[in-house]
Amino acid sequence: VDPGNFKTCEQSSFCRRSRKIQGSGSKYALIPGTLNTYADSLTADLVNKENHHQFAFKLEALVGSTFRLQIDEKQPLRPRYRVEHALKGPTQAGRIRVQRETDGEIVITSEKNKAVIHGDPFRIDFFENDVLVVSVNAKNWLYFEHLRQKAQEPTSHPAENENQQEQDAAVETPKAADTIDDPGAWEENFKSHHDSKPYGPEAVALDFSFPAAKVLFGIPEHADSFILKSTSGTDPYRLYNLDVFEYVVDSKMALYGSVPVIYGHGAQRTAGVYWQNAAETWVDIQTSETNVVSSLVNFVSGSQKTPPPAAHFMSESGIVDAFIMLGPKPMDTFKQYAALTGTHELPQLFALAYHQSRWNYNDERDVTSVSAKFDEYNIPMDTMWLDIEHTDGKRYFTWDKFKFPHPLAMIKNLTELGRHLVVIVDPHIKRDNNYFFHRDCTDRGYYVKTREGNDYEGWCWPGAASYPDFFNPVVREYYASQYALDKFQTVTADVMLWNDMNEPSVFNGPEITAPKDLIHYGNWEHRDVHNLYGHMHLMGSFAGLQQRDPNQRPFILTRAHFAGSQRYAAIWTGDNFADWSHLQHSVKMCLTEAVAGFSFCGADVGAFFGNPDTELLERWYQTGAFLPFFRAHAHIDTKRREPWLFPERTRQVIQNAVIKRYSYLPLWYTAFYELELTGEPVIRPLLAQYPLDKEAFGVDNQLLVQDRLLVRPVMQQGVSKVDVYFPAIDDKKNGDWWYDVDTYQRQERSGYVSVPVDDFKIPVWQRGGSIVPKKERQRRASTLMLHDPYTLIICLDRQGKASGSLYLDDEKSYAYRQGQRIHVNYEFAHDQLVNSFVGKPKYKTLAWIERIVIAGLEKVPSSASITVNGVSQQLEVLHHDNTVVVRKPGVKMDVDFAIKLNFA
Amino acid sequence: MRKTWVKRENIYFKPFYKQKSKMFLLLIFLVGISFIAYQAFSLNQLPGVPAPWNLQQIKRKHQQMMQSLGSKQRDVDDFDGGGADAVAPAGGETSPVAGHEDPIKIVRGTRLFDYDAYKPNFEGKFRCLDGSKEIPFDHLNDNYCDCEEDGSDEPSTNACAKGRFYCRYQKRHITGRGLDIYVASSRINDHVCDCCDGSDEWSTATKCPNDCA
Repeated sequence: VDPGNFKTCEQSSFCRRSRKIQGSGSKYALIPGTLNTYADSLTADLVNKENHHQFAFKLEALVGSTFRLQIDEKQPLRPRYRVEHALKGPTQAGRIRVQRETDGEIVITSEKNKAVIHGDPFRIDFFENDVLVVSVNAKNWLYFEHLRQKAQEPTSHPAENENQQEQDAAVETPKAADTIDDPGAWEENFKSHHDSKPYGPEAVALDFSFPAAKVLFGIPEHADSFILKSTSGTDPYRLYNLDVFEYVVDSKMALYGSVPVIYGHGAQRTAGVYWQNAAETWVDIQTSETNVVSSLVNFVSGSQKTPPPAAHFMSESGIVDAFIMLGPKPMDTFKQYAALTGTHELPQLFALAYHQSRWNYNDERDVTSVSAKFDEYNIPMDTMWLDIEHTDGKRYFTWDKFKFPHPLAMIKNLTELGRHLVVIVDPHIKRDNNYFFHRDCTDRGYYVKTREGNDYEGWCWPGAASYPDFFNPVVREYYASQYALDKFQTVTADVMLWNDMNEPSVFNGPEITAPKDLIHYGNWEHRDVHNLYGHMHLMGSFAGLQQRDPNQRPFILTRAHFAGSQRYAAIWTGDNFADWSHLQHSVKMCLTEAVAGFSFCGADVGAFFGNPDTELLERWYQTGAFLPFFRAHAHIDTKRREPWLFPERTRQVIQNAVIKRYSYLPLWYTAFYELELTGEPVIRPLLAQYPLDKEAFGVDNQLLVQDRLLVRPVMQQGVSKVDVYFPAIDDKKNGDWWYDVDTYQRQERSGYVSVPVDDFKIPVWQRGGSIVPKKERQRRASTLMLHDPYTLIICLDRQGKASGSLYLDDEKSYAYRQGQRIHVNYEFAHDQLVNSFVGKPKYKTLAWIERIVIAGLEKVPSSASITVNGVSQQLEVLHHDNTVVVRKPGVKMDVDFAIKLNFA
Repeated sequence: MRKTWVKRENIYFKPFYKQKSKMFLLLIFLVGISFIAYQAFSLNQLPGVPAPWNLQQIKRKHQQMMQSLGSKQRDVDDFDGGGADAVAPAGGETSPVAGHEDPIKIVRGTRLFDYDAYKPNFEGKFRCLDGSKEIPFDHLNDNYCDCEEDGSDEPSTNACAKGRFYCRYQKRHITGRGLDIYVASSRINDHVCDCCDGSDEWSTATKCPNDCA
């Protein structure tokens, strides 16, 4: 990447100004006597004591231990932008009670939470069960630039002069205090690009301290460690959707998505803040990273007090609209965030299987031959992907007639094998009057406009291109209608979508994206809504796929995303490079995305840029097999990379990794259903399930799949063993039992353990006390596995118990929302396995249970008996090294049963 | 005095016990003698046979084996792909009339070469084709994989990851030579026609065209 193409904080005017506040602090105060209280909220006025500008302040209590804080100008010159469509629906109001109210302090309670509002200087402390978890404006870094008129040359008209003098007299302080003299306040240049800034400075900034926390994490998307680092002396973390070519790792640079949610975690409490603002945002992080100097200072002063971690959000425009989520546990906080912005819908099963992609498969024969080769080498594969070269000169919704003369026949050949096709549709539209889409958008005025009212023209893959204004619901409706099968006649209802380059990417724009002074629907500037453009593009595509086939669940992959985009699409980490550090950051980035709502995250397996060697490719497949989105993808200039083009051993390693992924599809599918049900992330950092283990806070090369699997992929070159951290469930180093999923060898102690690995080994453990469903029969695609039987892997805990769940339905349609599903819990206790259904099992399935594997039994049972509808039957029990296998229970998935182990 | 050379007879004389070839032959002879003696002793230990072979017994034994194999074939033909029947077993299957000779049946998905391997052995069991394990004969084709190394106990189903399904149609040269065509077990009953005669879709309703020859 060329860092010169992208701004630093010093080059960004509002970031400079907002950061300067950290040195002096600001002076905001509540105006006495302006308090109004309602059943669920309170309002008051704030005043900036330096320029005496007044602001309206509102604090709402929401259901689920959440508060919403909004600050806007009381009388703005024009409305300031409020983010729409990011929340999944209107917020649900809670109830508040004013406990105490004095001029200096207001105390309100809601559920078991408390908020203390300090009037002068303005500060809000949030308590959960009387523990202070979030403190707003504790450092007095609130900074709200009210809208201004640009300074005019004094006129010679005496009447106007009198009015001006009269206004000057009304202001108690000299006018100089109200002037912002930063050179970039009213117009800004970056390289050769000019930002006219017609409305001048309008930044907002606010700090949030987390007194009960030790670490901060969140605010994807950055190629950095999971735990946020202090930004003292460096640039802040940036949230500004950009098209970054070959992004660098261990960087705070903005990447393709921006999700402004941050979490503070300590052993006792976890809290989160969602900063709802779609403008460019920088986030300063202050943590007490211990070093020699701070240790010495603490020693000399004799105190152990360290400042709590804090985050300083600085946005270029908009209002303060923050949601404070009070936890108290990590999973509670993630669920509170999911209650606001929503979750992924349950995807079709093929989306969770293996995808094969490349920029670009050359023609129809190439697609067909790649699909046939996967069959020849017995490697399962579900979806073929086509990039921009399949179109007629980058005109989306068309096909290149020479390379793909019969797309419907090609699609039929794939779907007959149970496979799918995904095609790309990007938001840039080729400016060609013979292109129907461009003609429609031009005639109807659907494009984003320049300041002068013309269609904005930028440069992207098609050459000269314009961009539809998806903020206009009419444009979204038009865009959605293009996916109808009577219009997009060359695809079927099974073909799914890939929305790329929707940051939006403009090759000749400032920072490779659109200029900030473009005008969108409602006369909003692009400056106000930039991070939301990709989200609005998704809304159009999602509506189109739903209208095309209302009964089928859509699948979209997107690059740009904002809070709430998880309701419509999966994401991937963008254009990575074939290097071990990028492989390592795949896991870190996806963990950060998962806690910010985007569980459906993956990285380009094998890397987008560069040519991986065989070892890197093997390890990348093994890592990708345990990230929720599993797709191989590569740049057009890389070598062909299908598994059979590598030595046989590499091909076998890849095949084993893919087959292992397919065997765990029932677990992934159940996890995504439970994500939609509860909001709990599918992949989790260790601290999500083990919040008390301080050592686990910073572990970001391991991940949990729900609370059942611990995955530590091998992501270093040439290693024969890896260090695995087994977390402790309390602060006395007591840990769970973990069973190796290949050998069922048990790991009983917590802490770091060195585990030997070879080429074929993926270090994965199943937690003692969990039950994991698997499908161990192989098929060429996951859609053909629908009726195959299940295996239940039971790993016992110290008490000899285990539990788990399984979800199944038709894996394709929305019928599960009308109850056509089976959601079943399994419990193993006292040498007996029983199932219990959540709701009634209304889905008719041919699937059954073919095997039950039990690890951790102390004695070997002689036999087992199964009881179904009161009738008992003997089952055979096989004993392997570390497990006991109950042979062929044969019971169907929708039948109540009990399996009892019998001991001699 | 003149010294004369005197030729001495048997200058390379060796006693018999130093001649290796003779000792070797003697050893073989002794081993042979001991073997014959052992055989004579063993024969003497055999119990007396009170009567000649009972031909009827042999025929009955063969009949039972063929009946067992035949009923297994019918199980496979009627197999619905689900294992739930094991919980609620159907009524006893109708046995063929006693004394009626069953026609020869080949287990679906096996090679003709392996015909005899898919009959119960004298213990009434099935031995995996790689010889690694013996399983009860009723576990053959019961939709559960027991021979995990080679998948040979489930030739008709996809229960074994490493199994092979040999298509019913096997192209042969007029002299009878030719390779056996098979598909991976993961292709069985997946609604995709892989054998040229569609024989891998034996329990789905998929209509497979016959593209053989």
